[in-house]
Amino acid sequence: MRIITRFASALLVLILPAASWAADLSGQSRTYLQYREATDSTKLLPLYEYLDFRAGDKSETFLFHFGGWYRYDLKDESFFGKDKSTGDLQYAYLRYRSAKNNAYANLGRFVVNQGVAAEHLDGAAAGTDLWGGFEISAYGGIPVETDLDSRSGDSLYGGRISQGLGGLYRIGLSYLHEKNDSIDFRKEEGLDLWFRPINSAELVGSMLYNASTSANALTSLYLTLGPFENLTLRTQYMAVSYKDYFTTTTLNTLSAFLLSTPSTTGPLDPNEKLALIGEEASLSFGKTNISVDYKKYDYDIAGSADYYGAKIAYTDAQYGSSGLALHRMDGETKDRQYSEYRLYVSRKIQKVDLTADALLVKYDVEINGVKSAYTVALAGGYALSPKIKVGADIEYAKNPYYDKDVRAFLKLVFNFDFASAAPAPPARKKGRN
Amino acid sequence: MKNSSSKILVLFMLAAALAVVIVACVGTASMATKHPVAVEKMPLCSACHNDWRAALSHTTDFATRHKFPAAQQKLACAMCHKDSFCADCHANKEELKPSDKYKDSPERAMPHRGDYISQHKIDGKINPASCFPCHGRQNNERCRVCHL
Repeated sequence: MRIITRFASALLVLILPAASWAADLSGQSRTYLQYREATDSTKLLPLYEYLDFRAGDKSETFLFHFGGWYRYDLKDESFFGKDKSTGDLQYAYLRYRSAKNNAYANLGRFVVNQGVAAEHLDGAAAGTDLWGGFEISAYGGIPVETDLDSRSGDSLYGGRISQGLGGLYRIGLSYLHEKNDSIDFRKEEGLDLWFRPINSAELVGSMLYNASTSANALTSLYLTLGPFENLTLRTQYMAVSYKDYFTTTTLNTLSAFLLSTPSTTGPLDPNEKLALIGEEASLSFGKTNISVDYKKYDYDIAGSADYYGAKIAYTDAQYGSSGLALHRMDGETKDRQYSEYRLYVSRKIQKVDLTADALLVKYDVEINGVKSAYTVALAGGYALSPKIKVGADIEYAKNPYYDKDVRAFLKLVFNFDFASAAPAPPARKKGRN
Repeated sequence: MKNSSSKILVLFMLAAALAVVIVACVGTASMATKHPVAVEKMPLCSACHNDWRAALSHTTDFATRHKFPAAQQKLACAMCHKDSFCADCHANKEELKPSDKYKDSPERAMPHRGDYISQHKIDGKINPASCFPCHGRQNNERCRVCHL
């Protein structure tokens, strides 16, 4: 680890002077104050500050990205048994971006999204376009995950190579290897695909192979056909092998369920395999969209489930939006069945926006003696200036866990943007490909 | 640990060296860092583009399928979205539900609206794989309050 730290320090010393001749700083501060009760009637009044900004030279060759939040509970009561205050450093990294070949390098804490990887990482990453439509990227460092133990001996690295042809296809292969306490924790291989043979047909998908268990863990495909006049058809397919996909969870509930064999002792059976097929037909008439959707869940062990419904939505960026949705979940047994109804209206009037949102869920089997759960939320916002907005909302709910739950939320959003007076470097050529 | 750090370091130095060679030899222009035309609503990218960018159209199902373009074309996402946009849902540690932060945007597909404590007992059994991307290895402190 010391080697990486020294390498990072040396790199910073080298590149920071290069970026010091100009500094543009832009970002957003979001301050939230929430009032609510926990299920044990503890009253909570947490104050949150979310801050994100990026700073760098005008050409955006070097940019430093920062994002994090801090919470302080203004009430004296405990916050789920945790400290009165806490926070999280979401990302803090220096990014180099070349004007050519989409080449980049990241150093610090950031998120990697490429192929099988969707990881928070303290480390480094780099990528670039190659000849012949090839792209390559790699990353490595220490994973940022829920702490089950110390980070000593933890490491994560991987990469992806892909090849594509203009508007026709891109296919990628990726690999990920993670160690926990210096012991192999995850070995994953992936295939990702984007294919658009004609303008009205597009197939995207991914496959995750668990190299530790030598089995396919997840296959996910999504086919879009259309639009044909106003009609678009979307088909979804997903196959999951529980024992191969959930092998590396740090969430006790999934691992505990999976360890609970036979299936009668736990909600999930590790030998379960799920195949999901979904279909949606969507009709668009300008700003109005009407859709019907259906999902079929087939299990090797548990039977099957159906989820189906319809929704109508109107969306206008200037005046607001409204929508109505009705859905039904029909699980194999009564305790896995419910009906869901949602109605919302949002209206913008100059600097003011108003929103009403209602959600009702009716369970076929009582939970804590209650079959219906509803939530009604009213929200209002006012733009004090183009950069500052204040808002407030109140939510009333009745459900199996709360007889009468009232929550309130205040927010202040401040967007900032500062440009230094320092002379800018020569303009870089930017292009689109 | 020292050995694994050394391997990682060597891997990245090789990648960096390769990148330098490629940048020197290929020479195509990088994607713009900002979209050249201001986008103020859900963009329909296919209205102007008929190549891979068409897949980025923010149609009504985009919340369901955004994981695919995000895993292939994150540079394109960054033309309009800051990291904080992703971090609101895909967090290492988060206490506020996304739908609590954005009650003024009811048209956005935000997870866990309303009373999700009750509903997650059913949805979690129907398709636990849908929980996993956000709560499998990260952001599961709230899960642990009950699931000890």
